[in-house]
Amino acid sequence: MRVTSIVVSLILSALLISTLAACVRFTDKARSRYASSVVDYLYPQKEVAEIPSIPQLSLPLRVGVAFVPESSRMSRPDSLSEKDKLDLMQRISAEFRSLPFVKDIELIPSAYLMPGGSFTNLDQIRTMYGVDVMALLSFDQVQHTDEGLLSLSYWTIVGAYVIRGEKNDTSTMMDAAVYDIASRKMLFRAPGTSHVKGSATLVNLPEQLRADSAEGFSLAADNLVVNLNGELQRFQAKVKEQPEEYVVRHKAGYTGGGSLGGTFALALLGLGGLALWRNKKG
Amino acid sequence: MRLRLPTLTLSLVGMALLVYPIPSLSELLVYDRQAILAGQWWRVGTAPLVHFSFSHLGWDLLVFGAAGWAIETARYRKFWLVCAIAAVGPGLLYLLTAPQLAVYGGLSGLATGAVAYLCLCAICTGGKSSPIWLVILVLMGIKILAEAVGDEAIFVRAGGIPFRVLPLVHLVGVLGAVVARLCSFFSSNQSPGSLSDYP
Repeated sequence: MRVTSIVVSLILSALLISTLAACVRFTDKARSRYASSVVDYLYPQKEVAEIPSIPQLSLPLRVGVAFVPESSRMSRPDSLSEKDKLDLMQRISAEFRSLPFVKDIELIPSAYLMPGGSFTNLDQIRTMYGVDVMALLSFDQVQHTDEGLLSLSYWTIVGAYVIRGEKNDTSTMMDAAVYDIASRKMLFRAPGTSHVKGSATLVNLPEQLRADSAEGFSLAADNLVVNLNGELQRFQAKVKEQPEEYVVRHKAGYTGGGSLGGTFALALLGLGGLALWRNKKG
Repeated sequence: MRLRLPTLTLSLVGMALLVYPIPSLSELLVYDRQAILAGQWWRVGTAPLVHFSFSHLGWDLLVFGAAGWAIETARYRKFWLVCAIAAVGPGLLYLLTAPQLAVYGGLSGLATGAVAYLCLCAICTGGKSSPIWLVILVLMGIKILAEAVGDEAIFVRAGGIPFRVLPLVHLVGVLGAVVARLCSFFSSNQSPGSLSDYP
């Protein structure tokens, strides 16, 4: 009897342990985080700090756009393909293309950016592509399969960004940090976030999560483009208002000419018309 | 009184309108430093006829057309001198002092010169509107100074290309107006009209 109860206890214990192990396995499999980080790329050795100098912007600028390498511990098999990244970069680069002080945009393939490459890597890209300024794109995507299991807390260059998740939701954060390579100075940054509500069932979970992932990136890129536009306007104003912080000059071979501008031209015409009318009347 | 046709103004406006839609003509007439140094000297004087965008063309022509029309209709003399100085002056100065400027164009120097000349002539001939002409002159001075000192218009794009506003073009236009007014003042037997002749 005693032997039987010991055997039953052992079997029950084994069953309990195997069940718990299965649960842990399920939970691990369900967690999905996919990220790349500008901080890890630019400052891989935390004790070494790059001291930025005053940026000397030679207009018109040549701007490079690139995704920083993904963190090896946070990659996944169905990660963003090079084509996906190029598509996203093209959408974001359209914002830069419309700027009056930007001459060219270069989309830099991921293979040219080494993990932890820092400014040494950026200097190489500057030499290869002739770019003055780099827009470094990074992202953090979390797919939550359990309520409150995992929130997205992404470390941007200026602090943490936290998004809480619900079951089967996909939270995505994209970040564009724009650096003047020569001075090591960050000119400005813009975030883009998205939150795709989960509608997956256990039957179609992997397919739905993949679709949600792609949609998450697309929506975050849309949001990033909107924020980037605002930041670019603010940057232009800042350069004009704070000449001590940004030295602006023009490259050899620039185009120039006189420009009256609509407002001034209308003011001249209005005042001139008034004067002529008074003369005629008098 | 017979209406005098503003021939100089209409000729320059017509030529600028003709050049704008023909890229090969624009390329032939624009200030191109390398081409000038290679012997194409006409570009120094023809650069004002070339514009880089529709709005660049539109505002320049509107202001130059209105001011030139008023000047010629009022029979103010020496307007040709304003146009000559404002057209050739900036090109020569940039050729000598700005090796980094590769391409330049635009009629705004002539437009500024024409407005300044109209103001100077109107002030000198007197009338109720003298204070308004003076205000226009002061406003133009402030704009040129702001552009020169503050580099306010560094972020400008015309016709899809990054473009730098050159305040010197406007300054030369104003200087042309002053020179023309002085020549007009000192020349004998001069009988300028007045803005009351303006139809």
